[in-house]
Amino acid sequence: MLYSRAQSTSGPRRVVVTGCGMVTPLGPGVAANSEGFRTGQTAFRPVTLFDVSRQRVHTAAEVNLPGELPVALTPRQASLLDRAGRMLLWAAHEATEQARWDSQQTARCVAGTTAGGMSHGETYFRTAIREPLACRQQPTRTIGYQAPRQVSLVAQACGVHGPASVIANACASGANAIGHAWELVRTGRAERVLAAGYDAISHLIFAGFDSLQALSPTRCRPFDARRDGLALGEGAAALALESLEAAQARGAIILAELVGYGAATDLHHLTQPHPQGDAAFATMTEACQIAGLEPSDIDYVNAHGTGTPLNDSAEAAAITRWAGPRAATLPVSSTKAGIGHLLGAAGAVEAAICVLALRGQWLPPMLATQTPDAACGFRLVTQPESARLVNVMTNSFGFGGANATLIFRRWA
Amino acid sequence: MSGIFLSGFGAVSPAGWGCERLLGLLRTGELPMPQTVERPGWTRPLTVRRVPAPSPRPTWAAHARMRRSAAISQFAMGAAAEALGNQTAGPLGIVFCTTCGCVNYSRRFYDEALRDPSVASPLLFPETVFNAPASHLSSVLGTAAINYTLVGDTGVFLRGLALAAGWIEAGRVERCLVVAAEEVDWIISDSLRHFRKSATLTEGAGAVLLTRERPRTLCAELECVTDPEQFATRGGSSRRADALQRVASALPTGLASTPDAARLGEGFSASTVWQVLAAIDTAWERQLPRATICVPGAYHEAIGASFTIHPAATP
Repeated sequence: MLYSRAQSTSGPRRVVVTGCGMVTPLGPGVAANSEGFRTGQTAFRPVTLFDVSRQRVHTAAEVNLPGELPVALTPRQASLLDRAGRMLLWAAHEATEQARWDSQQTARCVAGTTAGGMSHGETYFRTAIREPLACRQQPTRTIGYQAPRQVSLVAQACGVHGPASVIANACASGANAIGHAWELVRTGRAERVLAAGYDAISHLIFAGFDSLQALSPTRCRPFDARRDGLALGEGAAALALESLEAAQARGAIILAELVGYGAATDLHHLTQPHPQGDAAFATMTEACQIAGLEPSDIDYVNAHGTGTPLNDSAEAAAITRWAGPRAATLPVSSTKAGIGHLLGAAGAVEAAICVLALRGQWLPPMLATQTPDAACGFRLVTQPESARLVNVMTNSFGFGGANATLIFRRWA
Repeated sequence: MSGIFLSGFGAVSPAGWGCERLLGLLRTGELPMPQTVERPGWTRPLTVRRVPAPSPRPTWAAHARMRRSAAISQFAMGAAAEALGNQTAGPLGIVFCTTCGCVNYSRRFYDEALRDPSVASPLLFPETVFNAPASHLSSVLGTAAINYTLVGDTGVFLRGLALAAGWIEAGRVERCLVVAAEEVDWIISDSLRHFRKSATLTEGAGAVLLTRERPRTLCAELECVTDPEQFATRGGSSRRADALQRVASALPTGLASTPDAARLGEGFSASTVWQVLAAIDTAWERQLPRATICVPGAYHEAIGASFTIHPAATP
């Protein structure tokens, strides 16, 4: 049952990460990404997926997606997965392979996306306009456009046969998906959940951000005083979450513990954050309260840090206010400096980066940020460095005021 | 006892604005006349059922957020306001559920982007995002608490009820609005025809207020929401019927026959809320202990739920 009044929910359970998979513009797989984020690599290049000749901006961070699929699908199944769905499949496969879950045991899947299936929708529309009587492939595109259908297909292909659901909370979707999965395990409603975020660059979304003049015509420089916008990227990440008891009972390798999740809504504007980042402050505070941590216990913040003037100033205000005396020495960076804004995938990819940073004990730098904004009352990480990390936090904010914060703890 | 009660209801449908209009229409079976919507490239228009303009104009319509909002947001707000009634105080979680989302503005924006992206409207784009209606609800109702948008097949509203009940049980919120909404656009009607030639697309919204506190009036309590059952669209209606049968067998025995909200047309997630309202209303009317519903999804999923009916509390 998704819900039953007879279902007893146990006291809070500890939730651990036993699998991690990702595909980003830095490459497919955790290994390539770990090295890329540790050294601050960037992946921006001219857009090749569609015509951008009439746009203000012509670059983004595209994924070099492998031609083959990591698991065998029927031609019919493969036709339902668009670029975004294929990225999800790669990430989910890597995470579940690492977790080594028994496919006979029920697991759920929660995925976040803003536009999974969008390319099917775009093709459907263009076909419907240009060939009004055409029917070929249109039913398949209709089905493929349904993100839940894609997510179910991917989950089952990876041996996750329980209910799959899709959260579409704009650019916080991935973080909300992980947070929701954490709540399901923590409250005993699920033993194990595959949590993911995914999105591909689509023409509609690229044109949309360009129309808002939110894209940087130069380069993405989060928290830089001269920042002038975000860069779009694409990708997917998946985390295998399960209860500590279940993980230990089967001798699983534990990558990290997920200890806190905060979620709130910014009421200020549909696309602009409150100037003081009130909702971000609320989610950071809530996540810490749930985790039983103080700002002084947090060793690194992976900021939402899009590189837009409004986001970064609001987030800087929120982090500075939340961190208090800890702010002056608190390391903060935004990995969007290297791969751009992955929209619905961003929160999941950045959560995965936190897991990698905890495992490797390093801080991901923003090499392009050279002149820190005066609003940043914290220490920006602009060069690769090692660090002793125990608790790390990641922020995700989205259109519509969707705000989320996750806190991961090192498993040692 | 779950202690999760359905304490308020709202509906916006082709019958008009308000639950009474919807339920009255479903009781009598007198369906409003369908309208047509032009389909570019075709000489014959598509048949749809639309929501009539509200009269009088709701006060929330003057809110800055609602002025440029899409129809789906207006419908969602109308249903939410009715479900909430006067119970406006305190933190309120929001779960917004949809199958097709803000498709009208999305289609218009993409059309503009194809013609000339340099002049595509920045006013349209933010309203294309799936969670735009949910954001407007939070803003107009003034609640900064947790807010999710769920995208799913026709029964996604029942998933929303399960999610909201989990939030309340976990203590994340004391109350939660669960809203489902859809809007008519020719592109959805066009795509629906690939699966059901005679289908009539419809639009509207429905909302339920879930609370831990039991209302003193006649009320319903959320008993269970089943796991969803997947079916393949290839294989036809038999696969769907099989999935529906499996869902039904997971539910306790309940009211078997209720007015069928699907007669209004295919309203995806909105149709499911309307069916929930119809089932609970019928169970109340007939003084039955339970209402159950099973939803055969339009695309890939069947799901069901049951509700226990409680009499009014004695003072």
